[in-house]
Amino acid sequence: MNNPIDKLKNGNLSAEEFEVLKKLFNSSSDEELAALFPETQSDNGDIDVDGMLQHIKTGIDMEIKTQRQGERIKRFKIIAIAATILSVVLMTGIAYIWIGNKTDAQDSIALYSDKNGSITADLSDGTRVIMKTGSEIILSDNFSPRHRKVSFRGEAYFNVAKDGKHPFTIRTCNMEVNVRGTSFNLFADDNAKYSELSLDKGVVILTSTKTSETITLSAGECALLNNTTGEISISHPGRDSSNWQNNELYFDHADARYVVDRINKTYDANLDTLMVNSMTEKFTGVLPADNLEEAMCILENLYNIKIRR
Amino acid sequence: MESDLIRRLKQNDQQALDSIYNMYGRQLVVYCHAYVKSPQDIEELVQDVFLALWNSRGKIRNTETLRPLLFKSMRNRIINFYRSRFNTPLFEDYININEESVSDESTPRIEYREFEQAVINHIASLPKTQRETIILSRIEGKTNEEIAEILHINVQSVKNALHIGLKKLKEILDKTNGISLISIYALFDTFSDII
Repeated sequence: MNNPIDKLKNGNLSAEEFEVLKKLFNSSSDEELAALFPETQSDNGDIDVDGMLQHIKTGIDMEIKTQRQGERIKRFKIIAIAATILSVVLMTGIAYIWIGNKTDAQDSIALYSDKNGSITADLSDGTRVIMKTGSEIILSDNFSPRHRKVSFRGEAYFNVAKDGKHPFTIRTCNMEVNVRGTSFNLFADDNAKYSELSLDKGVVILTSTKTSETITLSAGECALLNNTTGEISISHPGRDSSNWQNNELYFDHADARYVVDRINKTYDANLDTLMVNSMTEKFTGVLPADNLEEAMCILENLYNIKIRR
Repeated sequence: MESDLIRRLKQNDQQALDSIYNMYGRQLVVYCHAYVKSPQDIEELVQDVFLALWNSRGKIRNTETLRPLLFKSMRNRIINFYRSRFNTPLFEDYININEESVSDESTPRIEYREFEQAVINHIASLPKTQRETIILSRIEGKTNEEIAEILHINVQSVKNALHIGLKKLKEILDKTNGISLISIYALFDTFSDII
């Protein structure tokens, strides 16, 4: 048997022969390797060809349908670990979706990938979660459209399907988020100083697990939760103040506490929130996102205070 | 007539694709199965052949028969499948283990997919960082530097996580059926080359 592929199939390939074969594959074109793969009669006793043909056809139809809808389903490596975790290995990292003990869960979650390296998960209740790499979402064991409870860590954009009778609850390290049908961005990581929820649509009820404080957010508002103290501060409806991609932070009638929290989060700083008590006016304006000194000077001038450096 | 189907296919008739699939699907699955064992892999590869046919339907030149085109497409996908598997570090480990166990009659030969799944199942019980570094290193073939960037840790942490993770994996695999003790040491030694 001279064909190395035959040897490989029978498990007779030595490590040395493998190295040679690998080099050959890496340095040859597909045409050059064609002779190693002749059409041959194989023994099909151990596979269900009809079943496979059905699966394949379904896959083809689905893919063409979504191409038509302008979205792309990219197949990527879904590693089923111990039947309880779907670990999705992306080009740029890993995201985890815990699905409890459901054996049919692979069918009940649809997964998509986009150009930005995010993974979109469509849950069985119609909710769509667009997760950044490194995020983790855990569905409760009995997760269903009537019982919508998840735990979450990382950063994701949630489009929660509307259902007034069945609230959607998200538990993070430091808070509980209750919604009925909304769209928002959530950043929750206990290694970070702050968790953040930016609400686009709908209403969100947020409870800090440390302080038991409960607040209600309206569309356009943004909440920052101090992971250490559990305290929450809110911005007011206005332009998105977390748009630091332009190296600027926008504030519209913001509480002083929120301004300081935002600066602490942006710069990973530890500005004293105690001084906030003397800053009673709301702040409307722009602060730099790339120059902490300048930001502090602006605040000092505006509020007539001195910030310890 | 196949030439009719080709003509209709080029005019974006998806039913023509269905008919072509009915004509050639089985043959392609059988051909693929000669070289690829796992049904999942076969399904993915054959699906890709037909999707590629659909996506490039405008460029089809042979107006009489699609047979040569489809079989060439299938063969090239099988070749790429092999190529990417050969370049997966875990596959190399698998080859080494199979070689080691040639002398040990009692070790049943397992398919690579089964081997990969066994490793993955055992990885599940490891702490997260160790689990992720092993997946990224041995299955995705990323370098330590790339892993450090993906996981936002430094390279030394990557090496530590791999070292500890693989050691624990070895302990776990010790208790598994079907992989002999000799093979496990071989696996560990191979892994430790990259630490």
